Formats: sequence, C-alpha cells, structure tokens
Amino acid sequence: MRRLLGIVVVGALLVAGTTACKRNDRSRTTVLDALQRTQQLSGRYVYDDNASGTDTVVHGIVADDYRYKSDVSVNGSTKVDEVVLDDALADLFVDSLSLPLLARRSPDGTLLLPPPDVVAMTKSGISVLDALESHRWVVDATGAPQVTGTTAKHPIGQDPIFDARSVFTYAQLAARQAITVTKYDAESTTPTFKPQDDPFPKPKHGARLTRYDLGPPPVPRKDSTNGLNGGNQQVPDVTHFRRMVIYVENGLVVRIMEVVDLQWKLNDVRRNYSLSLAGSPAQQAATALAGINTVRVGQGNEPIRARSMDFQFLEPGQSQDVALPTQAVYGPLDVLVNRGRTTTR
Amino acid sequence: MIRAALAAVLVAVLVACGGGRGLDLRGTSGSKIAHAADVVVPDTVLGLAVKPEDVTKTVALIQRAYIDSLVLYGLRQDNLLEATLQISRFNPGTRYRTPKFRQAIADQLGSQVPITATVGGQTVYVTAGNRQRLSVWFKGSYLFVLATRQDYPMARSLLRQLLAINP
Repeated sequence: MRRLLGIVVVGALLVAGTTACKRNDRSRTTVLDALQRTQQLSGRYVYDDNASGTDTVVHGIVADDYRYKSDVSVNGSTKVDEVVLDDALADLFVDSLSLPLLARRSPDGTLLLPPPDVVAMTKSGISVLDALESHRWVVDATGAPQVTGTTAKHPIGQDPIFDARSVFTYAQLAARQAITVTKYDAESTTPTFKPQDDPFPKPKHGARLTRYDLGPPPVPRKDSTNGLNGGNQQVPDVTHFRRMVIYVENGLVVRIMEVVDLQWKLNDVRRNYSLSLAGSPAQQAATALAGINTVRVGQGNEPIRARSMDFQFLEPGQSQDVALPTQAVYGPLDVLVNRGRTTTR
Repeated sequence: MIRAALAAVLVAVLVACGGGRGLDLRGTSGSKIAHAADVVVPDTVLGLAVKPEDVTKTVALIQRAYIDSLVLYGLRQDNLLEATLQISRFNPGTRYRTPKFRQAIADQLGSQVPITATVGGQTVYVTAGNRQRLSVWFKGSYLFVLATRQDYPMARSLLRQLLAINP
C-alpha cells in the first residue's frame, strides 16, 4: 500500500512537472512570437540604460529597419541626434564633450583616429571632427550602420543607439537562454523572482497586460565545465545574473525590463565558489563581479556589465516620418563606432 | 569575374530550391525552367542599366528545382556589374507562403545566418555571400534575390527601389 502510494505520488509529481514544462514552452513561444511580431513594426521607443551611475536614454522613431532616428541623452542632457535613411547617416553632437560617446575606441578605451583610407574632410573644407565638435549635422551618404548584430561583436554599452535598435534581438536571445519563461502570477507559490528580488512592475489584476518572467540558469559551480570552454572551468556569464521581464499586450511587446547584477545571487556565488567576502552586500557583489570579470577577460570574453535596462515600445504600427537634416555638411563618419563605410562593410 | 558573380547567386538559389533541408522535392528540371520575364522591371534603377542575362546553360544543368521560371538581370554602371536581381516563380503547390519554407530558402543562401529586416513593410532576409550582399524577399509565388557587390555604396537605396517591383 505504501509502495502504491509512493508510485501515485511520484506519478503526480511527474504529471505536474510535465504540465509545468509545457506551460514553460508555451510561454517561451508566446514571448518569442511577440518579440518577432513587434520587431517588424514601425513605432517609437524609449530605451533607458543605467550602469555605473550613468543613465543613458535613447528616444527613437522607427519607420523601418533602414529608416529611423534617435536622440541620446546622458544623465538628463541631450548629447547626440542621429538619423539613418537607407544608406545615409546623419549625426549631430549637441555638445563637444559628447563626441566620445560614439567615437571609435581601442580596447583600452583610447579614442581611435578614422581609418587611414578615409579622407576625413567634408565637402565644405572642414574636417568631420571639426564639424561634429562645432555642433553641425554631418551627413555620410553611405555610412549607415548595420541593421542588427550580436553582443559578441557589439558589446552592450559601447553604442547606445545600436543597443536600443537591437533590443528585440537581445531579448530573443535572453528568452532562449532562460531556463524558464513563465507568466507572472501574483499568487504563485514558486515565482521566478522572490518578492525581495522582484523590482519590476506587476500587471494589475484583470489587465490585458501580461508579464513574462525569464528565469536564469543556476550559477555554475567552481568544478563545472560546459564543453564550450576547452574543458576549462565554466565561468558565469550575464545569463546567470540576469533578471528580465517582458510585457506583452495584444500579442505585442510593449516593455522589456532587465536588471543584471550579482547581489541577488550572492549566496549562490559564495557557496559555489567557497568565497568569504567582506563588506556590505553591494560591496561583496562588486568584489565578486570584479573577480569573475577578471577571469572572463583573461579567457577572452566580454566582462559582465551590471546594469538596469528599461525599454518601452510606443505607437506600434503607426507610420513614422524620418528625413535627413536639410542644413548639413557632408563627409565620412568613420570616426564613429559601427558607422561609416570602412567600419560597417 | 562577372560570370562568377552571376553563377554564385544563381547556383545557390537553384540548389536551395532543388533539395533543401526539410523541403519536398517536386522539381522542375532545368531544361524546362522558363526564362520568360512576366514581371516588369524598370530599364534603369539609381542610374544602373537593368538588362536580362543569359543563364540558360547554367539553368539547364539543374535536375530538380522548385521554380518553373527564372530571369536574372544584371545591373550595370557603364560596364561594371554592380548587382544582379534574380526573379523566380515557384512551382504551383510549393509551400512558398509558409515562414518555415521562406526561412529555409534564405538560410541556404549566402554564408551567414540571415538577418530579418523590415523595409517598406516588406520582410527581407539579409545575408552575405562571396564579397556580395544578398537580400531575399518573397512576393506571392515569386522569389526575389538581389546580390550587390560588397563595395557598392547604395545597396539599401537600390533594394528599396526594387522592392517596388510587383509581379
């Protein structure tokens, strides 16, 4: 009788597990479909990236993938306006200190000169740099950036406009990497994020808005290998510390929020790596993240960038007008990261 | 050089159409593929002269293809081939409307995983070939493949112009 009871209980757990898996797969498919559907639409967006005390906001208007405009502000002041119209690219730097925001840099952060085969002079006879530094629109008739790309080629934080334009692709990758994708349920006994780890807005009861929570994979142990690293120790990456939620309404994504930090996984990190850390939880998280990033960079990987991101998509499907500025000088914009013919072709 | 550029795009599409992953083989043999231009294309686009190319010999080598009609246009500035536009019509009964079929076709063109872009309301698969950029789109039973030289500076503007062609 006891054995039979055990079988029934195990059977019930298996059924429950299978049902949960199906729900998880269904939610993942729903999210991926919504991301793909929304990505194809015109509209407006606001992308807010907050990292290391710097708040970068991109306001964008998208007619389609080859026609869009963006303005970037940092800590509340506008820095850059940019227009892409098919092959053409136009940039205006609102203040002279903002040029480094999109300037090409070497890995150590040094500003790079334009590629040597580019004559960095405008047709007006002044250099592109001078024109940009004197707050003039510069149009590069063939310098439009790539449509989207991977974070391996374009690390997050290097180019806020690129990050904003690629956010759907980024979220698709995150949804595939997540161990679970679940519909938020305020009454769930097993929420993806514990209440103290959940900073995201909750949909109101009965609202058409649905929130999907992306559960990260467990933090690897110090003896974990994944076969992808030449048999070396598996070092944590952004997927292990990411909290992401995606809000869907009427089959379209209206908001994506992400927090990447180590503090909410501090216990796992301490346990899995037998660490004893000192200081406040924030200081401990910073110390542990610095250590992980040292190993990551040593292995040739990008460091994990702690940040919070909030992306809102507005006016989905409404037509948007994008035009090049009429008062501009013309010249190559290869001085800017991801832009210009020599850097994008 | 010109011949190689033309052949590269053409063969890629025909091979894709002839036996792709998960695609049924209900082929038309190459000798039966029509070269009739039942789609009106402009004589010039962005200053490039648009002329049909003779690809009958290449097409005749194909044993099975998903298409029953194919025209390849060369787009030239003076004598320099800047781009080619291939317009093919799928056989009746081919599942050309399904996203899976379209993705399978796009996946087999070029040497990179295609990026999906929306341009002028049209879904375009963008990939790269041998020093070429490839843009692939579908309209009804027609497949369009635009191959531009990698150093052609007006590839997106050209694509937008060609997207206006309707079968």
